[in-house]
Amino acid sequence: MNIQFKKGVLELCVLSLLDKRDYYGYELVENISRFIEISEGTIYPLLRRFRSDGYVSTYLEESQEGPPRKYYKLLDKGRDVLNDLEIEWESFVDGVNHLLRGDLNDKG
Amino acid sequence: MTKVEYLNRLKSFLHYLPESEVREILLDYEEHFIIGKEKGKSEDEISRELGDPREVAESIRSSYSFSNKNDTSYNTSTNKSPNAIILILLIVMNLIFVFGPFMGIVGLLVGFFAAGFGISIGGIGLLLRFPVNFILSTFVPGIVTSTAFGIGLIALGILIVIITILLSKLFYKLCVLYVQWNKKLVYS
Repeated sequence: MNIQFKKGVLELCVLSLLDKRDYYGYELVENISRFIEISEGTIYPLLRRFRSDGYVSTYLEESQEGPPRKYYKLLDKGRDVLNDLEIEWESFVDGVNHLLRGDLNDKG
Repeated sequence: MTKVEYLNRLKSFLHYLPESEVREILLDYEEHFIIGKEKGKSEDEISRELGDPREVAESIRSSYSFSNKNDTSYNTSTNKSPNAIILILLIVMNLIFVFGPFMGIVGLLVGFFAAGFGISIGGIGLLLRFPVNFILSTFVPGIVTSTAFGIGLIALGILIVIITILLSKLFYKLCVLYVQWNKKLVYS
């Protein structure tokens, strides 16, 4: 699949997961790669960019096993971006479906 | 690839970033390895799932050029060099026209500070009923007069100091703005 396209979709997926609850990096990677094939290492740069753009904040939390986990929390700015991306995604999928079904009359 | 190998390889592609930044990035991947191992995966497996370090480094690089459009510190090849003519012109102009007034204002602010302190100390002296020397004759003012004037002078002194602090802050901000404007001129 086109890399740029996949990147955008990945953004949508990460933001969407974080909209439900806070995740730490490994959990995010684990959950996304259950459904989509990705190079897992590319999620972390995305998260770093989200943080520097003010989409998410991070905090550390101790865990019973092993080192403290770095959790990511969605901020309002990230939520706004998520809403935009979601709308974009839906109209995109909608458009592709129209084309796939071959009904070209619906849209002018 | 083992965890150490993977992290070292990734690090080798990130030499263009500041060291503290690289350390933070590697920490994320180290955490990923540790948690992965807790869940029973081998280092080799985790490395494979993370993907080629070169590809990861590439996505780190692209995420920087994405988010730091206005930040020149990460540009590996800065094509902006200072404009020598403007730089020299600015230095000369600043020396002639700006340096004098600048020092004048600094002197004025220092003077205000000293005056404020002086007046306050005078007020304290009056309050404690030190003898006052009016040119020739020394006399001790009455208790009511000295208390009233003492408190008044202390308040006046403190007021002057406070106003001077506010003015200094304003002046500092103006200076910062001016320096930034100069920088912009030189680098444009």
